[in-house]
Amino acid sequence: MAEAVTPKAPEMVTLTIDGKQVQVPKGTNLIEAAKVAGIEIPHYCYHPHLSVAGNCRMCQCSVKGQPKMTIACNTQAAEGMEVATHNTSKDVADAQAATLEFILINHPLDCTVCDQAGHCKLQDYHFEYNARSSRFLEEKVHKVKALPLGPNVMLDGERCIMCTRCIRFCDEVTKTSELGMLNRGDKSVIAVSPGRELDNPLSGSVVDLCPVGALTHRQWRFNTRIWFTNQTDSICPGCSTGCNVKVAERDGLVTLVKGRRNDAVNKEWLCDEGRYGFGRFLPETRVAAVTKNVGGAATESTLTEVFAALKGNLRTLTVLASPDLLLEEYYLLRQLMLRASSVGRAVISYRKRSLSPVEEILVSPDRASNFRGAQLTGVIGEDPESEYNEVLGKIRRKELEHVLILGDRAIDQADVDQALIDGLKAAKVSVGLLTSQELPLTSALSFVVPGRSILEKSGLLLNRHLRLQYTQSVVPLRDGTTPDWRFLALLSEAAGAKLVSADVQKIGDRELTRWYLSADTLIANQALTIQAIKDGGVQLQAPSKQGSVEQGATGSVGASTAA
Amino acid sequence: MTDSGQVFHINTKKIAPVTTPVTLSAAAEKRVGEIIAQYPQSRSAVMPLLYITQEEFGMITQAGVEWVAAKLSLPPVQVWEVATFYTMYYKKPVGKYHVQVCRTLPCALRGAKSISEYIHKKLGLQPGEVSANGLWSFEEVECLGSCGTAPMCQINDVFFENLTEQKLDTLFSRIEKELPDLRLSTVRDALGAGLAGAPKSEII
Repeated sequence: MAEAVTPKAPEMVTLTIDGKQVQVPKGTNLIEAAKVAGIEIPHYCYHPHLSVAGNCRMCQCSVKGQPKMTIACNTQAAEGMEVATHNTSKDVADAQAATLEFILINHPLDCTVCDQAGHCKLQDYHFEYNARSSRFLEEKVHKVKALPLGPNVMLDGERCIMCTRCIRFCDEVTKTSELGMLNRGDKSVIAVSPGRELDNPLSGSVVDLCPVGALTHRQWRFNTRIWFTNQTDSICPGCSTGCNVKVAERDGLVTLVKGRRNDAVNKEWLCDEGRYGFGRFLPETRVAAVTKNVGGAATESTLTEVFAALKGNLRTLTVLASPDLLLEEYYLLRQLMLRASSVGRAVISYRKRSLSPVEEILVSPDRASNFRGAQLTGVIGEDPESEYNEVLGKIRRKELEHVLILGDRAIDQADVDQALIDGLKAAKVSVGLLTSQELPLTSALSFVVPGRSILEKSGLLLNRHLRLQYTQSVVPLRDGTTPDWRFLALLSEAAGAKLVSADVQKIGDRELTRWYLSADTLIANQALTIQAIKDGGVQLQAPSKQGSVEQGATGSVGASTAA
Repeated sequence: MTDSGQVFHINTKKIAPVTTPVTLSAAAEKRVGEIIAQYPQSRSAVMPLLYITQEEFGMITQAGVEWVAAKLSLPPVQVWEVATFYTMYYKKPVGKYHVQVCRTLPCALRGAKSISEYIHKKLGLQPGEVSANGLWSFEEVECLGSCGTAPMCQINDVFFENLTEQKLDTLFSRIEKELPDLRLSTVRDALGAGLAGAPKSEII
């Protein structure tokens, strides 16, 4: 995914935009050059990761010496160029207002029932660059409303402004070419070929690309108005690519997931499994309280009782951890293993999976979002899958007496069988820090503690190419839940070794991350701040070669903060 | 009655995919090979190939488009883009004799409107409709480039010029009787024999 970077510095040109002098690499288009100068040039069809179509005409600007206005997306910055945008040229402002009026001629203006309202470029730009009533009195052209293009995407033909971003995405990124533009002029409509569907693993990305409400998610249509939601910049925990996302939440439910731009990770794309499956990390029926299972009967218990049952057995304890624990949590687990010189074994659930060619554009061949973090901290070794299989085998053969399960995904649902349940039942002490009450193993464990989902945590994730990223909780916290890090720290304290200097009962995720960034000797010397990691992430080491994801990650850690 | 004003939607309801590929006549297959060979890029042949399927099946069909797409290794939707952009690819069935009356200014000044209304009344058809016997259909079109002989119409691919109502009566009854070949065949790369005795162009 990473573009080949030429070692020599690109040739720079200096130009003036609205009187501001700006220096950009030769070949940069004027939209990007204006961005450098802090000037926004409005655009619909232009997208930095797609080819230039130049059909919306919204980005017009005037270049000194050229008789007609030019579109900024298709004009390359040149030495000495003097550009005037809508800010300084009335002609440009008038042309943009006229363009908007033209685009809106056949637009149905059904904002009141449109899912895009509130985050719509037509609304934004009209407010900013036109803000006049329409003079168009004639009958508008009517087209299809609510036509499913595929399993995930719904088309409203009337709202479409024919920017062709979705078509170009399918042509250039996924190379599946499902979409096309039929008819011509004001009768043009986006369509799939009859008998075929827009059905590829990244199909939901066309909805992100749509600047208006023409393409909407079938799953999330008419869910809620966007302004009633809380929106958080987070990281998708679906696989170890670590795609940057923006998540809208209302009443504890995920109502919309959008790709967030990060050129070093996911550009702006997102796979359908990650997007539409985002809610799977929030089970419907939650573990309500600390429970103890004695002979098939569940009774209420306390954390103190859990720690009492565990602390004497740390030497023989086997930990199965979710592959989506935070880096801080793996670090604490490792410290528990080392400092209490006790924990026998820790593994994470890791299964390699095969991917289709389109999935390979983005998706990583696992469902273990932070296995690199587990490797970096030394919790697991080079081959997570066989380590995991080995421990599963031991449970099935009833060889393990003390088991700690951290997180719902610590044991892959596909691996749960009767032998595994029996093996867990046979263990003397088995503790699970779980969120879902409906997992088949909850009744097999001697203690169940209500835990937190990855969507309820804020902290560090390390992606497959060793990019350190900050994920933020997207839903409100629930009372009575214990994050894995607090459980590990308290367990260690119960066993007589204090790991975290602060009072873990009082601190939150953010304080823990701050503590971790100064405590872990591997990265403490880099003086990283949460803000620096939030801004696009920090690359810990040159990205491993594409396709060699399974290669060891625990090497020397070099510092290089990427933009 | 000029333009139905409808936007062409090929997928307003779920349409089954083409499962059995169509076959074209041996002559058409041979001609397709020759046409593709003319272009440096095979995708350039999309328009003549669409004409050939239209010639073979009478209109643009889903199976025909899929055939062209497979022949040129194009995504089918890109063939649909071309087929729906141009009005002379018929997405709806037309009659064996498709009458296209010019309605652009020079013809209109010379009485195209009344000619058009006469045909409409005579055939009893709305634009886009096909007669019960499958013989006739009619539409109004823009300039056919024969302004000097206005008013005029094109039946299939042959011009009939300096039209009057009497002329149309003779023309229609002769065509119904003689069933002449008025098509420009892409497969044979030749215009049909036409109506005996009727000149290809008649200039005053």
